[in-house]
Amino acid sequence: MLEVTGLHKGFETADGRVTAVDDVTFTVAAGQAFTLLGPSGCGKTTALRCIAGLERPGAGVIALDGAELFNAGTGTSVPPDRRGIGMVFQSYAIWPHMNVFDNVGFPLRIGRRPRAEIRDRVGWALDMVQLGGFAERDSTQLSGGQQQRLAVARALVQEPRLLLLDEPLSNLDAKLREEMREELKRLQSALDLTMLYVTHDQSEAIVLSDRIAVMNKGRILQEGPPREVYARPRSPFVAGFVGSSNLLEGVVADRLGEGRFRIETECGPVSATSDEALGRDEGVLVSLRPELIHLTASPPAGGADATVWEVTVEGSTFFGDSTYYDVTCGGRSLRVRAGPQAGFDPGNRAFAAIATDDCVCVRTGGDDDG
Amino acid sequence: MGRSIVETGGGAGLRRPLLARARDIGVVDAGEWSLGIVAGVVALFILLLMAIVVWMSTLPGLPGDPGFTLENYADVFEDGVIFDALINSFLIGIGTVAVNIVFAVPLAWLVHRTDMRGKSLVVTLVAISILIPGFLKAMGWILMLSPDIGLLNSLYVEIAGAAEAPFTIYGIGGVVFIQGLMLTPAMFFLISGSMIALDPALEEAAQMSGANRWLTIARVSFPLIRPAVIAGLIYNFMTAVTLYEIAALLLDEDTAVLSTELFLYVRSAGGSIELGYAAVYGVIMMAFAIFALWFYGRAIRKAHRFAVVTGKGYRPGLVDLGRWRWAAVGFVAFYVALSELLPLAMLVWMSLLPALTQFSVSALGAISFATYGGLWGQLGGWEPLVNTIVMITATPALVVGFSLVMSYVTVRSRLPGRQLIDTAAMLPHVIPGIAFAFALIVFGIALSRFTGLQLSGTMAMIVAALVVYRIPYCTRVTNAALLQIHAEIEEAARMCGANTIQILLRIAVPLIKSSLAYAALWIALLVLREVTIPLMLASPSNIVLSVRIWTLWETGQYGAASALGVVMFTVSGAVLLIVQRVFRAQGLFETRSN
Ligand SMILES: Nc1ncnc2c1ncn2[C@@H]1O[C@H](COP(=O)(O)OP(=O)(O)O)[C@@H](O)[C@H]1O
Ligand SMILES: [Mg+2]
Repeated sequence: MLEVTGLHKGFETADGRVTAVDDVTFTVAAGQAFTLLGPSGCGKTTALRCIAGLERPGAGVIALDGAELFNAGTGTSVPPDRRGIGMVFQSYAIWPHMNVFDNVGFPLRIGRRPRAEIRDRVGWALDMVQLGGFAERDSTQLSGGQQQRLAVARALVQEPRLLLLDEPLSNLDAKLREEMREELKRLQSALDLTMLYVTHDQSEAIVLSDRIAVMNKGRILQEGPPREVYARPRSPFVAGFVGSSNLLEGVVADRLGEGRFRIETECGPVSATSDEALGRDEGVLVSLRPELIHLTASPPAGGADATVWEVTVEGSTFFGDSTYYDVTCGGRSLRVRAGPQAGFDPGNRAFAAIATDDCVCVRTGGDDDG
Repeated sequence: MGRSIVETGGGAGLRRPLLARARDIGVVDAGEWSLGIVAGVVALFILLLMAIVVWMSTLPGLPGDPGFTLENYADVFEDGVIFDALINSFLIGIGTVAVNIVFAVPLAWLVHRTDMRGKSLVVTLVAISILIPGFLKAMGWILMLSPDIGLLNSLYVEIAGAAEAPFTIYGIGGVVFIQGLMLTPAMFFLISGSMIALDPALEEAAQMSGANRWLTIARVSFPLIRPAVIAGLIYNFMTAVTLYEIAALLLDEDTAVLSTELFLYVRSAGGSIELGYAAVYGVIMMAFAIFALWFYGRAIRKAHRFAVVTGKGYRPGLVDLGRWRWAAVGFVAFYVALSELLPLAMLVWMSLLPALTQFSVSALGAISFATYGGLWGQLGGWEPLVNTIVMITATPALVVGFSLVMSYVTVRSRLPGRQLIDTAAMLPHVIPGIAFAFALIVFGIALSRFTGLQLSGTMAMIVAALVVYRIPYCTRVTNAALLQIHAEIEEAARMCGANTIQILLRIAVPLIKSSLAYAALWIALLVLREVTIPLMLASPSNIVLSVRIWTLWETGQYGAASALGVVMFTVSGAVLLIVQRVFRAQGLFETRSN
């Protein structure tokens, strides 16, 4: 189990101080896959490197399986080579002067393990990533995907208590990325790995993780199971970053019941949910997911649990597995995602229905918006 | 190598005490500290040698004697010779770089920016020019153009029936000519880098804006390589001003220059030894050097800023020489003839005849290898040979080892004070070799007086001076090589449980081993032809090949000196060509002569 508390890391650069990681706290339970998700430059790599011991945090405590690896208060700092953490680097960092076997065997050689054990464990690790039979291959002759597997095998061979992965799939092409994503998921559950994963790709995060933490500007904005973060974003940034979202400005017009509000927006009134205790006339942002807006030609049955707006179709883009419509409603344009079949033409009038549970509103002016 | 980024912990500022910061670094392990200590000791030794020169200049007597005085300065300036020396050295410096420009800029342009054929041969010829030490070039030219014995002179006198010799290689003009030829390769390789890195798209853009070829060169190409040319000029100027070997061979006693004056005060044949006066000359040279280093650093930084690596495998926009192709070949041939072919041919001719004889059919009949037969005796047997081998193996080994550690500390570690180590490693780049040799003489005397340890006159002294002198050359190679290794390649090893020493030995060294081997080879070759430092530190027990050639020449044994010179060049040329073949894949040599 990894516990990170109050982690802070700043850099002194030529043009002033940069805070890369700001008061980050989270816990990865044993055997769990946890992802730090956020845009480029938000401090994910820095956080990972602090946990690995490659950077020294300015403040905070890092503990693995109950033992402190780092504590700014007491000055404890276990050097990176003694932390027993495996790491897969974004660049893979395969050693070009060693063949596949020697790359994977390196941690065991450094640990002075007997030759027979090294052979067995390297064989096991290579089999795990489906590189069995590649042992004698020159490491520079591997394809991108194979290098990636090699990097994973090298991190696994020492049976680390924690596996760190820094955007391991970002250098692969789209198809390979999906394949490797599945494979990492399989490895993680088969080996019951405690895994901390870093990515800017929300679909990787959602598929791979038991829990995700969305980061921006060095801070964690929201943490939880992927489904919850997707369905209940607590800030406009999270709503926009995890999945995509139409964000409408509005004010609270009325409280409809437990966690339900009527919001007055540019497109008209809408029923929305919120976990926050919102007061009347408070400014909010309403998040409408394109895939959760249902477009119909004739008015659907409305009711207490949904909002229906009359819209005009302005244009459409066909994506193969779906169609995106640009519609306007009260002068404001919205994106709607529908099935692949042809539906509406530009100029058509249509009805957009949004279930109240799918429509989330958050307070504006929080300190955490992106 | 500037990382502009300094890491600090949380709210901590930069002004905290060094030790507190060091503790804060956290990722520094014992191995890293020990590398830091080795690098620090070498850096301190370099600074110590420089301090010794300054210290000596304020001593009334020998090192170890008490007292502080400015008399040495007063005496040197009262004497007045120093002013002549300054003016002459300055003239030599200006003249030398003028010759450099005339040869190096067109050569580099032809090789890198035109469609001239045989480019790799030209590069090899320029590199080979480095292997013929300046003193051998000068000796070859003396045999051609000495008013007394020069073969070209007597040929002219014979043919034209003139009363006296029309040319002379002696004098400041001769020094400028030989040093100009000798330092051209340094300039060539320095501007080659910026010509290769020059983005052709910039030139093409100028042409698309309506500039013709000459306007493009004047307005775009030349301004972009100008910083590199200026850096080369400053560097060669500093070298030319302080070079000893050519001035010693070509100037008479009345023409003083800084280096010969310093040498005479230390090793005067008849007069008294005046270490204090010599130190004053050393201080003056070092002051100039540090002043120049500042300009040099600025020019180099600008040159790097202009360099764009396009990553394209091909070079578009090469100038079509057309009818001028033969002029280009002629120009290259002219340089090669002056700098290599003619002096070398003269040495060979001299070594094959019992005495200097005019070219003629009858002279051909007198050709014999008798001089080569007696060479073993002239060399002085095993001892100089063993000394030379010790010098050319120990020096590269130590230089590469120290440079690797110093570069690793500056490029990779987060130790406090690493910037200082980088600076110290750069200093010998501009400090003249003769000043280091002098500092070691003083160091040797002080050491024996304070501790009783006798190092003066040993090979250790020569090796120590050469190591310090060559460190900047090698740290540039190791800095660049280590910077090419992605940081994550090493961090990956750390995450696999490797400590700093293991990472250095198992990851970094294997990855850059060809650069290291290459640097070691070049250092061995450059050290072999070095004469000033071993000559200044010479004693009967540490004679090396170059010093033997020098003393043979000084005592008028031109034939034996020439023969040994030919052997030395042949051996180093052969080694270079063989290794170059092995390292073909490495591309251009980056090197520098001085
Ligand atoms: N060594 C460093 N020195 C200075 N600034 C750094 C350094 N490493 C990262 N940063 C800065 O810290 C911030 C976070 O970087 P990083 O952790 O690499 O982000 P991410 O991995 O999320 O893209 C960025 O603004 C980056 O410029
Ligand atoms: Mg990153």
